[in-house]
Amino acid sequence: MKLPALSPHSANDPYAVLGVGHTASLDEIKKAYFALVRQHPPEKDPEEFKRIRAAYEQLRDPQQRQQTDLLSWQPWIEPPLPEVPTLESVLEWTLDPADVIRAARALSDLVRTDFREDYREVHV
Amino acid sequence: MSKKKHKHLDLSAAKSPAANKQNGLRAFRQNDFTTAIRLWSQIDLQNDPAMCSPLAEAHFRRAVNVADPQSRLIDLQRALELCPAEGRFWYHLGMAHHRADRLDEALAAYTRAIECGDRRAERVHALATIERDPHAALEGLPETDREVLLPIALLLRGDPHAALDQLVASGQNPAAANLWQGLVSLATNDFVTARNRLMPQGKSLRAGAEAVRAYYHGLATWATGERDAAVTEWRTAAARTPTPRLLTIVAAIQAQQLQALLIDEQWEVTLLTAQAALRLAPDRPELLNAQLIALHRLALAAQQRGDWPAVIRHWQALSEVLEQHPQLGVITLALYNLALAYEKSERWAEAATTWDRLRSKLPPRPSAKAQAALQLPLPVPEFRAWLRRHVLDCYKHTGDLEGAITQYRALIKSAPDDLDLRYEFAEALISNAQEIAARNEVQRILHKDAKHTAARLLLVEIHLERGEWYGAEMQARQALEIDPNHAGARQALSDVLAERGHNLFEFGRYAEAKKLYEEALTLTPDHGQLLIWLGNTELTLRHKAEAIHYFDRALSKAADLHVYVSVFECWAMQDELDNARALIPRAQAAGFATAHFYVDLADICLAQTVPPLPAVFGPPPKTKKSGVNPWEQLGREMLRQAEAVSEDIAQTLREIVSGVGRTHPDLALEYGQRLIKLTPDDPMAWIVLAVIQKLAGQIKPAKDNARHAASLARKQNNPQLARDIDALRRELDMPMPFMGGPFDGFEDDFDDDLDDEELF
Repeated sequence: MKLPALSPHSANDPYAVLGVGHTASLDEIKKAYFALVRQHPPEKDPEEFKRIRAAYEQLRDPQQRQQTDLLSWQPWIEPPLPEVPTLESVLEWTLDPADVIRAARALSDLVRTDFREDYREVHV
Repeated sequence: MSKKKHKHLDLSAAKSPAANKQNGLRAFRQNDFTTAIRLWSQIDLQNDPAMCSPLAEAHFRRAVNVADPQSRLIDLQRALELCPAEGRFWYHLGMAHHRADRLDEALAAYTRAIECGDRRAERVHALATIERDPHAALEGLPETDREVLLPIALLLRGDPHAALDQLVASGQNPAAANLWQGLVSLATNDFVTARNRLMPQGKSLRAGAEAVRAYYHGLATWATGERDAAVTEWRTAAARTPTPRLLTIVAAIQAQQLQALLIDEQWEVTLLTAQAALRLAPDRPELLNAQLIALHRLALAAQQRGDWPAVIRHWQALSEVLEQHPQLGVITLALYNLALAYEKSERWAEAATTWDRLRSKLPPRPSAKAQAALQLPLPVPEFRAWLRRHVLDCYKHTGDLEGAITQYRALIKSAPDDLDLRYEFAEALISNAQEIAARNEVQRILHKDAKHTAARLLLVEIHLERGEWYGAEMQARQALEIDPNHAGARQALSDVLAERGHNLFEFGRYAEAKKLYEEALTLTPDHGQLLIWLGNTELTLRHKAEAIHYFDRALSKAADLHVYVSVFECWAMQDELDNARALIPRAQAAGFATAHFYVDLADICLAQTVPPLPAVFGPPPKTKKSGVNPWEQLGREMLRQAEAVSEDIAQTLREIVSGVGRTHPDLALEYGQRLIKLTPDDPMAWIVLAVIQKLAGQIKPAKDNARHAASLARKQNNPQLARDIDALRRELDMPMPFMGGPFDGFEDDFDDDLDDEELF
């Protein structure tokens, strides 16, 4: 079973604004930009156009795009969901010799802490 | 006895064996065995062998009361060095080894204890013997010990039926007998009997035995169908005394619970549950994985909502887990995101430290496979270079470059031939105003590589900064000689020559200045400022045609508003009103005639109508013509134009007040009053007016308006501005404020808190 994927990037991430992946080519970025501009022309939707334009500006220049990438959250690969054993599969029905010894020791002097009877008077 | 006197006695006693004995005895009786050992150890035991026994007793007492096994062992060994015939010491030494599973050493010590007459050692000796070899013979044991140990040996031999026979005959205490009989029953698959025998028995069993009882009672309970009861018992027992088998079961229970929580996307609860489980069973991979997934998801969610403290908390916790368990994920990317989160929170010092931690994790020369595994946005060498510059930027944000410089020193120590690193270090030193150290560093680079043009150009910059024209020119010429097409080198030499030329001009050495400007121009023919300087020099030398030529070139090559203003100022300084005026329509045609442009021109024109500030060097100021001054007329015309084209009249009024206030406080006052009418609630407008009033000699209104400005700032909940205004009010009380012009000090005072636009 897998958990649903979650993007590390916020809605203001320029790739997210343009709706392209982080490995998109410049051509793909341009196409996405022009398509969005057609949907949100500046005269009708100036705020959204500004956002789209700013995202495009960040990605059109290779150097600026590299800087954007370097200062973006990096996708960290999660470990897989833990393998969960059933309880039956982990139950050990045989007597563990270590448990026998543990019990035997616990019934002996080995786990005692009070040995006052072993103390002797001192004289100097 | 006074405290002082008591202390004195103690000090003198430290030198006397008799006093050491008595003080040691006092400490011993107060159970301060460490002090007793210290004092008694100062006594010469060869001269006083009777002290061996008390000293050994002190070591023994400390040993049986200390928790650390290693300290206990050392004390027991010392006690035995002093009294080797004490059976009880051997007995305890044997048990110390036995607990640590050093069975051979334990057996040897028990043997010595038995030889010394301590019969208690026989049973633990036998136990160690069967632990080492369950088939060992137990015939030599006393009957009571044999009864106890034989069933255990039989269980260890895997013969529970024989063990059961032996147990029936043994006379153990009921709790112990029930435990063994329960275990034997379980081993013979008699779960009902096992469950009954292994029922909880209060506190009659010690922790280790109780944990074993609980585990096997749980098994018997599970086998008889009561699974929930079994799970509850295991969890309780694991929390008290976790044995490996109990931990395995509890980890499986918790992993099931965690998986359900993860699927339900309950990240917070998953995290808390995983952390609680890990406290019980640290290092369990399934628990660690659940914890990492929860931390990652929480970090991503926090990133989405811009909750930077939470982002930091989660990436930090995630990095710490990966630091301990690198096999579970890539720590470099966790540190990367942690550093970014610190930057988002503007915690630059922590960001720099985290980037540096990330840098330290990068392999020096990774293989293609290792590079791919790192998942970095750049190949390692480029990323490392970016990181170095970026860390420096972070330190610059903190305003404390010392940190970066310390980092560079450490890096250079480990890579002394990395010249790029040394170059960046030199840049950091310059930024930290350590020019001499920077120069030394650059010279080290040039010593290693004389053709390092960037380093040589940095040296030019350092020389220029220190006003060392000759050194700067020599280095720039050398850089250009090495690489004649290097644009940076051409620019650097041009800059040096232009600076030198400007300096000569200031000294009135116009012909020499011109020569240098001309050479500089051959290197950078489109250098706007240079063209203006050269034009101005020609103008000063009365070479009007040449001046016009250079000004035209400046206007065509690098035209912007400032070029027009600069050329206008050159004409104004030579009192060439017509030529100056002719520039205005050109600027208008070129689209630069903004309100700001007109205010600048007005400022220049009006400055022509008052005697200039006494210049140290340069041409003597021209006498101003009497009567209606055409510069003043043009200046006022420019002010009207500024207002006519202004898109933000308040801003334009502020610019006018700030500009003309320097030379015409009365005129500035007029504009200041208009500014107040326009923005009566702006504290800055009031303080500007106050300053102008002070310059115009209107002291009382100036003070009143400054007070009003401060009051407005407080009402508008801007305590910083109010404090700044109060500071300025104090200056208003001084006889000669604003020495460099009415606004010089004023702008500086507010520089930290307000930008220029906000101020004027």
